[in-house]
Amino acid sequence: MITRNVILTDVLFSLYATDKLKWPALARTHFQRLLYLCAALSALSNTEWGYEFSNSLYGPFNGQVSSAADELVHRGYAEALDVRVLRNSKMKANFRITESGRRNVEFISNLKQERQRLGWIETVSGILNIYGPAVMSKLAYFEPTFIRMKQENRIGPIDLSIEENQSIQLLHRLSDELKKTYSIHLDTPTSNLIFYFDYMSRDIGKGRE
Amino acid sequence: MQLPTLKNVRVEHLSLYTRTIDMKVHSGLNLIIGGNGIGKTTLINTILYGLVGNATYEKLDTVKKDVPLIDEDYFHGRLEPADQDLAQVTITVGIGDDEIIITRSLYRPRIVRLSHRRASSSAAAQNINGTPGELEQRYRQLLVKLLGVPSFEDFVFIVANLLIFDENRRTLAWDPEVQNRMIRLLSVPRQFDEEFSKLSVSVTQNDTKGKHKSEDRKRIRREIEKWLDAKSEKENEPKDVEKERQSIEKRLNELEQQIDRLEDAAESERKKINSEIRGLKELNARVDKMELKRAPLSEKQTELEAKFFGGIYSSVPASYVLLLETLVKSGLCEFCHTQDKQLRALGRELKSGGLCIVCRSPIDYTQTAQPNGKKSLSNEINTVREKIEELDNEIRSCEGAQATAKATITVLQETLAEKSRALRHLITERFELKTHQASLSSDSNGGGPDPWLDEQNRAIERLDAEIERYYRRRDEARIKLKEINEKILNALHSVNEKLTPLFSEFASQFLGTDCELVIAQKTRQGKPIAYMFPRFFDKERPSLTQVSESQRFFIDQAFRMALITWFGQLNSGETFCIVETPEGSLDLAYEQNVAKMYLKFAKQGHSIIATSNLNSSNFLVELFKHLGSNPKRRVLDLLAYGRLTSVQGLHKPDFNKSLKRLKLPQL
Repeated sequence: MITRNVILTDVLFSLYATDKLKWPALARTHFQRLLYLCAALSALSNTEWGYEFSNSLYGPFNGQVSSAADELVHRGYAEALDVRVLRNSKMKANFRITESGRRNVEFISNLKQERQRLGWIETVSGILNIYGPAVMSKLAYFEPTFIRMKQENRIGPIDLSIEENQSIQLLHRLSDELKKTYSIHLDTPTSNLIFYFDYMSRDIGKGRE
Repeated sequence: MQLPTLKNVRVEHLSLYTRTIDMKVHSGLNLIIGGNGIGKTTLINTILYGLVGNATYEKLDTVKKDVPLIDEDYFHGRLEPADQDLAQVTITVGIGDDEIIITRSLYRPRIVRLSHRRASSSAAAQNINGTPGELEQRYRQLLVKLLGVPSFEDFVFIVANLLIFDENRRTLAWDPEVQNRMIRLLSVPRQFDEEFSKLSVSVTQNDTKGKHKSEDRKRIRREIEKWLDAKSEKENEPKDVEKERQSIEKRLNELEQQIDRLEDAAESERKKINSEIRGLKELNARVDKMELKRAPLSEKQTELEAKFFGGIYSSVPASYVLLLETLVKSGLCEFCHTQDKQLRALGRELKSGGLCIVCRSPIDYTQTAQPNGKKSLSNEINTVREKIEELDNEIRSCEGAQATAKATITVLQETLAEKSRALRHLITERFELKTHQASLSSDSNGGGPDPWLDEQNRAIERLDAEIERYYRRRDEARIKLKEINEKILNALHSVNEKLTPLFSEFASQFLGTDCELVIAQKTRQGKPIAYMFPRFFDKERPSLTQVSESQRFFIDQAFRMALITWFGQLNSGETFCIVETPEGSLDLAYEQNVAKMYLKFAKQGHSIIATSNLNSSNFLVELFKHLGSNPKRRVLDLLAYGRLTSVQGLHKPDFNKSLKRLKLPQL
């Protein structure tokens, strides 16, 4: 499928999923980070993500994801709230799905693959609901694959393939340890996600940021 | 023989670019401009890939080898997963009155669509059907037939060494072997060229065979010497000949058995390898068949998804239509609340012309955003996707089996090589033992004539005759080759007469002085090679060390332009050439000269596709002055298609300044 359509749909899905959870309108960074976490952990749901994020100074970033929200606003599928132009001419806004956007999500969900993708975004955001948008941003910033690239001072696309994905490898190590030491089996994507975010969030707020 | 023209290039879903590139190639100058890393070289390589796929050509280096013009995995790192199935290039190639339209997948090395039509006929292009392998064969046959080239490999050779002057920058003016081959292909009558190639091969083959036989003869002579030494040693030593002979006999028997066993084992390995290769071929055919089934499904999927998502994301937003309507009705801009008659006129003009309010590009504002409400469309997409997934699973399982078969073949081949090595050792040991046995026999027959020695001497005599025969054939071929070369030299002289003024015309635009081409001859590996090299500023320049970097680059271009022009005049046909980033090595004074050289060539009716960075130099400005009344149609601005790097983003105002200078739309 055309990458542009995938990205527009993903941003629409993330606005839809977080709106259902009654999150406040999302800033660009928020859905950027939410989609990055969904992509980084997509191996758990056997989803091929289809586009990449690069490591920028401020965190994982994809320019098309960033501008997708504007296009959704132009098309009436999202609304831009609290729009403000900063001194450096950068524009900041928060985005929320509209009724027309919701209708489109329902229409697109008639497609099986897209329905599964929406399911995955809903699952991830559902678990992240425990922590809220601010902690979610930090969880994405401290995602091990991104952190390793930063430590190695490498630039370019973040390689989230199974061989290079540090989150999935960490999760495999931890789940083996759980099985061996406590006979606990993480046998569903959801149980893996809950455990992963629980483990990753321990250090946030303890000076690591 | 003819050379092809490029008529159109269409690149879809190459992830480097944000949208489809559809480039009409005009006769005369065509420019591809952009910044570093924006994808100029990738676009050139995509065009070449469309034209020749992953076909190889003979690289006439010190070690001759067949190399692909574009590597099989060239696009893999340049395609995001979502684009892999959709990425393709379509090239329209013109040959005289015929047109071939070829579409190749960028991810999988295969032809997706192939069609052929007569440009003069109003009939639609005729699609050619078949498996990807069959389409590749048909394309090559068609091209060879229409162009009249000896083979497809020769066509790839011409593309690689004449029509494209890329970043690798192999020079034609200073490479005798490549130049000689090129001029023979373009100008020497076919029978001379074929004879020259045949005789060249004959010289090399007979020389090599003679040398091998000579080595065999040396080996036998060494064995005879060893045998004679051993014999004289034995004559001085007391020994138990009978006992030694028995022990040799015993070892020889063992060796015979071991050799028999190893030969059987090697034969069995060979059979296993052949059977695995047969299996692999069957798997390849299965994958081809499934790919063939997959291609139309993938097209269908793209078409349906475009329809489905087009309604959601590609149609005109309702707010746009409302804005335009208000502008047309009342001349009011709802964004800034300006209202006047001029705005009303502008609104009417945009509406009637179907132009976008913001960028003036064509827009169909009647297509407003609304989901395509038919549920049947989503069902259809789901069904097609499921079918593709099933095929993908089968292809993946076949690819797994292919990998296993390849690994098994490698292991079997290694085992076979090991067995062959062991076999060679045993055969050498047998040979040495037999030599020794013979020396013992000669001891026992009291120094009379020895049968082994006789046999070796006879072998030497046979080899003498063979060596003499091979070298005689080699020398005969060399003499004939020299004769043919004389004919080629004559042809070269007549080519030179026509080529020199053309070359001088182009090169003098660059150098500001007259230039000529001097004919010379060289002998490489016993084969005569006639070629030309430039002479300017009263000095002959037979080697690259006698020219500067920019002279090497642009004099070579002048030589290629002269060759193409001369060939075009000879066959009343046009062709194309591609030149990459030519302005890099020019100072202020020479920018204008190179621009003049390009424009002179462009006037000959051939298409020249030149890439250039958008920078502060005057090179582009010089070219733009001569691009005619509508320069935009001859320019592909890749900055509008590619993604700017963060460094380029910081310099956006500078890019816009340059674009403004060229009167091109700004970023």
